[in-house]
Amino acid sequence: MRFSSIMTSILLFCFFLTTPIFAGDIVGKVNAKLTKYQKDVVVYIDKIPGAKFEVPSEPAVMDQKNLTFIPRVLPVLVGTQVDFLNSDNVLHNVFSPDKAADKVNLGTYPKDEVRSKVFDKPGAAVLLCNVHPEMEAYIVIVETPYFSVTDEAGDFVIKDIPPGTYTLQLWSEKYRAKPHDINVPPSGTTEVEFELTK
Amino acid sequence: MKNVLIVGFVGFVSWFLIIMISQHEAEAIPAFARKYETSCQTCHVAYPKLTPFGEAFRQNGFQWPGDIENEEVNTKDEPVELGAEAYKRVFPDAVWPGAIPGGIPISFRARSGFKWEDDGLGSISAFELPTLQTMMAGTLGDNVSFFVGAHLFEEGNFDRASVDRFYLKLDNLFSGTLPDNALYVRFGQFIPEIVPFASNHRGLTLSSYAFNTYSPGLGDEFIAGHVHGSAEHNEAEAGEHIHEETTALGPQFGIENFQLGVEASGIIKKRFRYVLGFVNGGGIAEENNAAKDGYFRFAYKFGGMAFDGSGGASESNSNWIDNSFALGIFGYRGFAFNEGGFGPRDLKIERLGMDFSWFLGDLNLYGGFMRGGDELLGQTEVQTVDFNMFFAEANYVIYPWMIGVLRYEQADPEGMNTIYRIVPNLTLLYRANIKFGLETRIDPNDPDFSVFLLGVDFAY
Repeated sequence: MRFSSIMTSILLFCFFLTTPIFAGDIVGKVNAKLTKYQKDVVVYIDKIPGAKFEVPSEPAVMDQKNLTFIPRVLPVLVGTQVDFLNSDNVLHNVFSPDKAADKVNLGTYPKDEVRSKVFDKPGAAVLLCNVHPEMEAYIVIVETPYFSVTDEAGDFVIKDIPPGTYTLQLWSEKYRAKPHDINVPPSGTTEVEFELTK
Repeated sequence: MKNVLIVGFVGFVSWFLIIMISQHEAEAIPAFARKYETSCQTCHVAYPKLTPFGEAFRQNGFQWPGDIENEEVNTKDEPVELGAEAYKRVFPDAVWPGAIPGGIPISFRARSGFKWEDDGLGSISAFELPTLQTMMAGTLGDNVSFFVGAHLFEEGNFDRASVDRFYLKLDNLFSGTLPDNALYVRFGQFIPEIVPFASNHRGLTLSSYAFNTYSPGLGDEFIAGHVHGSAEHNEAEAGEHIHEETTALGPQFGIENFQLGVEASGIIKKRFRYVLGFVNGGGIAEENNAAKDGYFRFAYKFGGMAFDGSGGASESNSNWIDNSFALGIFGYRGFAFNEGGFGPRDLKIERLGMDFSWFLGDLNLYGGFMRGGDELLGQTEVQTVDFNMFFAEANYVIYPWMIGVLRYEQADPEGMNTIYRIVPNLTLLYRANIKFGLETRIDPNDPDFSVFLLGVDFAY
């Protein structure tokens, strides 16, 4: 009885530790002059001083299929491993000229092979394939787990954010937007809208 | 017999495909209407005459004027990328990324008509055989443009088929260092940008601009019909002349002849435009002399839309209204090889002139003056014939679909008769891409001669 009570207490503690009792959502929209650029915009809460977040134990995955990186834009928490799968019947290569990706070159490899890279520097890194120059994707490395990628309409949702005041940042392949200071209440949703500019 | 027909048919199809594949450019280019999903009248008052916006678009290498982003925003036909945008950051370790048009940017322009002519002794009338042009033009990624144009047949005659223009244009070169629009360079075969205010390829009349085609080698005659640039073609057109005698042999040079070479141009502080060119000379005809020809043009525009497409906002809904005044000066100097007369010679060609274009409401008045001098081969010696040339033309938009044109042209070649021509024209747009032209030519030196033309013209 005593043992089971202790176990129950531990499980409850873990549950509350991982799932905030009080958490709000941010829902929003990103607008761009050229609507195709409303898609694949990363919206994320900027660095929270003093906060540390556990890196996901499962790697994120970026596939290469039909000569396209899927997804085109992949946001990850700093320190996350990304597996690059080749699902095509042709050789692919993955490399990046950006420091955020340590200017990595994973080499050229065949179908069904996976090569990995841990992204441990905040920033954005473009990924290219030197076998197929039209292929292009981005890994956006952020410092909190509170991020989202916009859909074709420019809509996004960031869920389960502890209450507080944060700076909401945005990354776009082509445009910029001013960061928003935002107050997340203990429950409910906060709405925000971004206008992308050059 | 059957085999002959099959071989003939295959040969024709092959020729046609080769012509089709090898061509593309800008006088009325429906491929742009398809690319941007916009009407011809975005760029043309009545094709091929350009609006100020259309002129800025043309000068900018068939890209939307202003920020390069405008091109992307307005393009409906997505290009096929030949490299991810991010490859720019990989350069020089990778090829700079480019693109090709998503659809084949091909356009056609077909022309025909009816002519009635009376020389005082009798009259003739005839439906004219058709001419079919193909034009392909567009961009190959940011700041690279191209134009290929050809006549598939000319007045019903396949023997006069020709590739007239093919060039690659590098736009906004060194844009990070130089201001926007400061430097464009094109290579290939093109019409020198000497007199853009009065281009046969952007004018409304059925008759060519004598200002752009006359040389003393033609004697005391103007070329009558539309000219397509080559010396040979000019010669063929000369068959339409009322008088055929020329006093001596010489280069039949027109400043609007197609030329092979390189041309640099640019816009400085929005309103000043320069053009510098270096070409083979001799037009399309192969010229085997060592000398190259050079030319220049400087122009400034006061008021209205600037050359780069900025400014000029008008309260009017009419995109041809551009209250402004533009002034240009130009010059050309070169040598043309000639084997006739008493032996092969390089014959000097010189032109120096100025032109203007004044927009006032629905009226566009433009004109030019030019002093020229050509060496001609006489029977025993080379003689230089100088001439003065003048023209003025008024275009008045009566309705958006009806434009009245009146042009006066005059040439004074030394030792020959003064030549005059008056060209009234009425252009009627049946649709944005279909038009009719009614025109006559009046020659004050020959009051017994009269001609009336009806032109039918459509592009798709």
